Amino acid sequence: MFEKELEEKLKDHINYFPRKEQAILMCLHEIQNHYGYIPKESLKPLSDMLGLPLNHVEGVVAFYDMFDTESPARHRIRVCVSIVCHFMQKDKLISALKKKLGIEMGEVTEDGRFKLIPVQCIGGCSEAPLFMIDEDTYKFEGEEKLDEILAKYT
Amino acid sequence: MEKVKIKIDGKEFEVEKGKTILQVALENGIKIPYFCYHPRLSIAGACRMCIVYVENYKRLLIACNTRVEEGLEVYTDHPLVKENQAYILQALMTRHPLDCPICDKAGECDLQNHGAIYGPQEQIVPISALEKHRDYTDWESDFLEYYSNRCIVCYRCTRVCDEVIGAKALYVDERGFHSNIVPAVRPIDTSSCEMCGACVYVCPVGAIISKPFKFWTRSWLLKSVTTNCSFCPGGCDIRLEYGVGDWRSKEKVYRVKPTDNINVCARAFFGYDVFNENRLLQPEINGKKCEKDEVVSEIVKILEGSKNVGIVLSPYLPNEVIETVTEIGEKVGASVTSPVADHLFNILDEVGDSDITIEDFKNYENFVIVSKDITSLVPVVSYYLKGNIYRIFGEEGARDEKLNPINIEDGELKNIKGRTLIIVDPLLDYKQISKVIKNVKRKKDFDILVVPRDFNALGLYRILKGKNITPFGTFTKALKEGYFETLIIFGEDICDYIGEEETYELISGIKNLIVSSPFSDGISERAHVKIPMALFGEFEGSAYTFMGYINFERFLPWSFDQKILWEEVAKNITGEKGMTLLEGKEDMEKLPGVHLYRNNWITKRSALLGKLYEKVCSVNA
Repeated sequence: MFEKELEEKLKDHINYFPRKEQAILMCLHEIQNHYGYIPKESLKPLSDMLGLPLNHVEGVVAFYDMFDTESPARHRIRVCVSIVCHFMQKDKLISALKKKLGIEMGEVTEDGRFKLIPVQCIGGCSEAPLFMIDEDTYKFEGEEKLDEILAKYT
Repeated sequence: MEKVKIKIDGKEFEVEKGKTILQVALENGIKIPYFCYHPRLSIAGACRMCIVYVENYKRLLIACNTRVEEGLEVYTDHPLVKENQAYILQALMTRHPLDCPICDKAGECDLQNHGAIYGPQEQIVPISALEKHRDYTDWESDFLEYYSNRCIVCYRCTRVCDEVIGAKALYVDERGFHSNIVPAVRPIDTSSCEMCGACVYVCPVGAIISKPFKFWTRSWLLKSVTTNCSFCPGGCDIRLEYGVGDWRSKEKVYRVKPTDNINVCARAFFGYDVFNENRLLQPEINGKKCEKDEVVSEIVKILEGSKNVGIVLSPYLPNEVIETVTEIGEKVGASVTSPVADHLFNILDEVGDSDITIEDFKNYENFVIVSKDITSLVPVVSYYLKGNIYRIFGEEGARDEKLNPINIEDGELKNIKGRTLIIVDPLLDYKQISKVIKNVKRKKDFDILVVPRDFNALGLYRILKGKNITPFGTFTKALKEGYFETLIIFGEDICDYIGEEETYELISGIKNLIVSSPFSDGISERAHVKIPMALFGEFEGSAYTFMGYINFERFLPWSFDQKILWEEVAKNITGEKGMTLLEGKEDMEKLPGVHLYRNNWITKRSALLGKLYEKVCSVNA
């Protein structure tokens, strides 16, 4: 079950909409803001509150890249692995990031600063290969530029 | 229905408005390839394979999601169509491992078939074989297996689970390239999944595979016959596939598949192994195999020479055999009963017999389930409950909760408005049911459907109605007192109702025991005369099921014709004594429980279903 404070907030969202299942995205954002990620155990109680089957809620969480189901970090680096970035050599970008951060895909750096996540198209195919840090989008322009970009996030 | 005129490939058709181009084309025998469309499912438009060129708009549209309209001009063989279909196939093949030699779906795979007919035979996109790997989440199942890199993400499996079965066990993980099918709860064996195998069947490629069937044979070596299942009163249309017995396949049943109506449950999909184990396929007298004529004269001799004859009929017999055996009973003056004769016949007498089939379910807005769990009793009934669902006597955590039922008391029934179907489970306490029925009977819009546990229980009732049937409780009491000299038992229903050990003790003192059973172990081990009883595919005859009145065909090569044997017995016996009715009113001690994976003495023998049953029970305990 949810903590009281969080449950109140979820109920507010649910009451806001004419049909309670419409509140699913707001509720998931609320849970992510509260815990920093979406714990697996929270999905069943949420599906009960929304009156939805569990597989539906799991599907929504799995579809959107903004939801994180595992250990959180201060900054999330999202790397596009869709078809266009693939042709524009996303592998170079990924191996550069892996080298710089010393982590594999889906892992968190030791200091808890960065997390590396593969995502599907982030809508900037003309600039491929692309990656995002938190809400900022960057074009990959060689390993040297990476240091400069990463330094902005502490 | 409003009609519109359209042109497909220059030919004019007059078709119903509101249908899609693909439906119209398929109905008129025009070939359009597709992956994600299925007649029983909603439209997804995921695969784009069914593109057609529409002259009115001068562009390509997907046939599955474009409704027909007046004057539409459609081309299925336009050069643009051919070019783009080949491109789509190439894109799918790019990610596909092309591992057909070790894929169970080979031979009945849409990707394989369309690839040969519509696809390019060359590589366009530079992806090497090593890159054709997709991460996936293990389903952790002993029965279903998922190969992520064969998946073409058509969503048929998630749609069939959500829309038809209602189990809602699957979802799509991630997006795009990384899409995967994942069970909401793992291991899937003990989740809301009902192991009906519908996802295995609808998968157009070999992404979801049935593990018990995997690597045993190839699909094109099997003979496939469409028939109906006889494991429960659903009577679902299924396809039985068996080997022909040459060097590549054994003469046995390899699998059961649904037809495109997707009426299937775990009992048929995984319970087919009862066909292959411990079967009694030839009559025996005192442990010696013999021919039909010997057995007929032996049975006639026994029946004519004995004083008190008892016959226990099984609801798993077709109508014709029930009629013949009843005739035999009347000739020799036997006491005839059936384990369902007490509780089921009483309820049917009170409610009245109805011939509502699953087809009629769409005429009702409300359904009231009067049962602990109707999904476990007859799973296919639950696939057709679309409307407001109410529940009386439902159990917490029962499979019926997939329907989101509203729990009500029997007093609240009168508040329900509109056409309503009351679905009654006769295995409940008789007093409970009659209380509900009393509330319902006076209302005009209400219909009552009794859902028996056993296959042809309705046929048994209809044939025996008005005859001198001895109640089962009274019959067992007489059996206990050693009243019968000769006993004919059909099937092992008696074990379900009074317990296995108790049955063996009861029949141990019988002088002449004649048993008709599909299996060589169990009751038939103790019999003096054994006669094979048929499962579906092994008998010719008819039965009353929820799919309506069904005629069964006998096609399995090893089957024994039980109908002829009993007909000859009836012909050779003389006498006109009439049935002996044993008076008395003994209550049945207990009614059998029903589990989704174990509903009767036939499915109880399936090793696969047994494994599933134990797995589910160990989690719930």
